[in-house]
Amino acid sequence: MKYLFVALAEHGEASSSDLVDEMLRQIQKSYEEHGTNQLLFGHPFIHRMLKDMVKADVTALSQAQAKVEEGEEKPSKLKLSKTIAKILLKHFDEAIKGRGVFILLELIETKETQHLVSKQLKAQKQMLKDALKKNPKAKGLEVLLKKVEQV
Amino acid sequence: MLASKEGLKAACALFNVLDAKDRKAVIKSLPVSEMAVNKIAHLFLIHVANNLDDTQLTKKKIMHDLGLKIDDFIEDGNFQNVLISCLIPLQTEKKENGIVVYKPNSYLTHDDLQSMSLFLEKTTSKKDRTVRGKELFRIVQTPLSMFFEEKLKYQLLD
Repeated sequence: MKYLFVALAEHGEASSSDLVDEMLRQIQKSYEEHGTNQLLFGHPFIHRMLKDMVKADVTALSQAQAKVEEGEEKPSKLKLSKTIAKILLKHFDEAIKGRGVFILLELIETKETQHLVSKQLKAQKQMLKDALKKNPKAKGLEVLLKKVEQV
Repeated sequence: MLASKEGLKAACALFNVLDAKDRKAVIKSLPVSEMAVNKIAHLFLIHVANNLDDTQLTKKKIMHDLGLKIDDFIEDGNFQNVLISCLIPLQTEKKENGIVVYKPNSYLTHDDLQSMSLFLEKTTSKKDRTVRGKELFRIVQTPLSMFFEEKLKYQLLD
């Protein structure tokens, strides 16, 4: 399934796919892990899939841009990455307390998607610091905070 | 022949050098459903799908049969590999000595890819791999999307 979603993103078909729409709706629902409720985008498998989809979306953009240079077609506008960023920022608290932080990290570390989250992450820096204080072992959060300070 | 890695090597090499007409005859004789779940034979199906220029033939003779078996075999790793190879097609690279081999990927082992690479530089295929890749993606996208749409939450958590 992961390969299907990544391929849909890589072929620039994700934004028009009903399956992707449904998946993006489902990942905002909660599930139970080790006795605590989390949102599905923080699931060990799903957060990696979403990261790979963001990467594939960026690849699709660069391929489309190359075709524009050859005069073929218009580039996509990172619609999928935008939607994933929106979901994470909407559920910011859950994202920074779970594995969603790694998707945020992917978005801020990639030049093409950085603008989708940088402004909001800078504004929420104190919240990131507080979350890190509560859970100092959260390496992803630590790296994200460093990255936000660098941007 | 496809019961051993040596047999696979020979089958892939022969397929590479066959012309379109003979390739068609080979494909028509394949027991696709059986091969797709076999540890070695499924690699030949992957090689065929990734080298045949006539993707309509791939659709009719290979993917149609696999589409009917998705419900039964989706948990099988070999079956999954055949479908994945259409979503993320195999790429090749030319070595310094002129030998062409499949590039490493995340779903097949180095050993498997090496076994499928014999005589790749002598292939009679003319189609660009990117073009074939797009066509293969279109073939498997619909049946897979339909399958996963039905039980998406269960599949996501599984």
